Amino acid sequence: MRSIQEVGTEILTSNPKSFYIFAGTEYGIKRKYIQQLVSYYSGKYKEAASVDEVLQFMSVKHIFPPAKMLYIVRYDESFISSLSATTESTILSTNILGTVVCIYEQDKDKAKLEKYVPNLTVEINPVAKEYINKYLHTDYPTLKDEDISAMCEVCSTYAEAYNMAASLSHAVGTYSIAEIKKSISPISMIDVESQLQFGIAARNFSYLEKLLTKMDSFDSVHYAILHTLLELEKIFSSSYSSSPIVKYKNLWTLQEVYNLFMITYQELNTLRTISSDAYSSAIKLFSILTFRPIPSKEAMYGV
Amino acid sequence: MEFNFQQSAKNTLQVLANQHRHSILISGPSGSGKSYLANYFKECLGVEDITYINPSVDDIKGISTFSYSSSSNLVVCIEDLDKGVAGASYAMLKFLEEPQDNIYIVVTCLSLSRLPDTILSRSIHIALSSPTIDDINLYAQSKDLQKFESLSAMPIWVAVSSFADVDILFNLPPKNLEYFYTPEKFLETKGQPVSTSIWTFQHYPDDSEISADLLKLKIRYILKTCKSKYLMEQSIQALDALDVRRISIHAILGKYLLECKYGG
Repeated sequence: MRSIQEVGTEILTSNPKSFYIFAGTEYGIKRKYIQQLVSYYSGKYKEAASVDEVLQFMSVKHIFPPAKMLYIVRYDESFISSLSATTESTILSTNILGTVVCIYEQDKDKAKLEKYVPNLTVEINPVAKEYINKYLHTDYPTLKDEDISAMCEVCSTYAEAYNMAASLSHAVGTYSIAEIKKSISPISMIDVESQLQFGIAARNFSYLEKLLTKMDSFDSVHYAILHTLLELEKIFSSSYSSSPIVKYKNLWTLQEVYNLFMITYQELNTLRTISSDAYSSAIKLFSILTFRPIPSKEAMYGV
Repeated sequence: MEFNFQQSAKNTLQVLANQHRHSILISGPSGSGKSYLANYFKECLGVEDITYINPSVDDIKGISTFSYSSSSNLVVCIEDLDKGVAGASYAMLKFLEEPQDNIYIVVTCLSLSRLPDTILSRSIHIALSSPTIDDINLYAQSKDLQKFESLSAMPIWVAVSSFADVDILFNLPPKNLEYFYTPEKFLETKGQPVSTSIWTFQHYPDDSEISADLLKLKIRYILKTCKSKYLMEQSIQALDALDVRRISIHAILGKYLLECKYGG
């Protein structure tokens, strides 16, 4: 497998390779690298449904070569299933215009990736606190040193610390990290609603799925989705830049915001009308986040 | 006071009372007098007591248990059963299937479509229409002639569709009533984010909150005065959702205003 230092250097110094597989559980670093790649390709990126879709696109002869961009493929299980001794050489021999980044998190996927595509895979696991501290100082230069140190102390991953910093950077009035530290676990320090909002805006199915396992009740999930979508609509329609989720604006279109709002409303109506499983409904809505684009309510329900 | 739109229902209830029918279902829009008619049925029966209960599983089970131990005649009115959860309707089934001789059950609802067929098949159904404009005006005049003459001249009066609407407008403080003099401004939300529009739609200029019933009045005004078929459809859906109230008002308005801005 490739080392995170080597891959990090390539990406952060604007010398990316054409194909990366990000395995491991540290979502914050993956997000950071993806943001860097998006910036490298001047904002041009696409969320693709599968690795196969991208490779087939690249194999076709185009009259006008497509622009170089970043292709992101999230949790493509069909790729894992198809891994074989020839996968790596096939990918390396494909003329990819831009960079493809595949994202995985589970250990079972990592094992197969390490076996069949070791030269394309990098394991990104939680980093040492000193690195989290360094990254947060860069991400949120206005936050106080002692607050950043406290966040590093209580959070176990860069992603958690980043989300906490994102929430607190927009806090109105005073807050006390000392009070926050008295809470039992890092995940409880940011309210679940904020965590849901970040996960939804980031279209991070895996993060949201894990968040559900920590929740006692799922009644608030649908309202959290509606609230996040209204926040995104506000960002689109008024250039509202103070929102904690403004950095995810580029992951959405206004049409998708509208479509998902209508689908979520429909699901909420169904939940309230007949006995339904709120957990399954939430998972269904989270999985829709991975569609690109998000289909309309009519396409979803055939109405 | 006699209202034309209720006369047919009253005649039917008189007949059913003479037949000592134990299970009546009255459907009709909000404020059309369903609970009033339940009381009328009680008087036709010559029963002294009527109790009104909410469409909750606990309340229905409670009254069911009480009724088995009571020997005196009683009319039980379960109001707006379709606003309750599915469990409330199913709790009703046992109550309806094993009626006591001294208990008369009146169920009211907004729409039959939300009740299970098993409830419908165990009850005699009376459909109540909305009061006519003449009924509404007659009711308003009987309450306060001067107020009626002032309010009926306002544009918002076209949206008044029930006696409850009349009561609400009559009881509004003057500073809030002033807001309803310019209903054409209700949907002045162009350019605003939807979340801001929701706030504006739900609040008076002094930031106090507009009640759910008045929100319905606003949307009914939009329905009656708009020319867009799409907006009419969305207004009807919003009114329906606000009647049933299974979803928060904020979410209902969010959908409505999002559709007004981007839909169609």
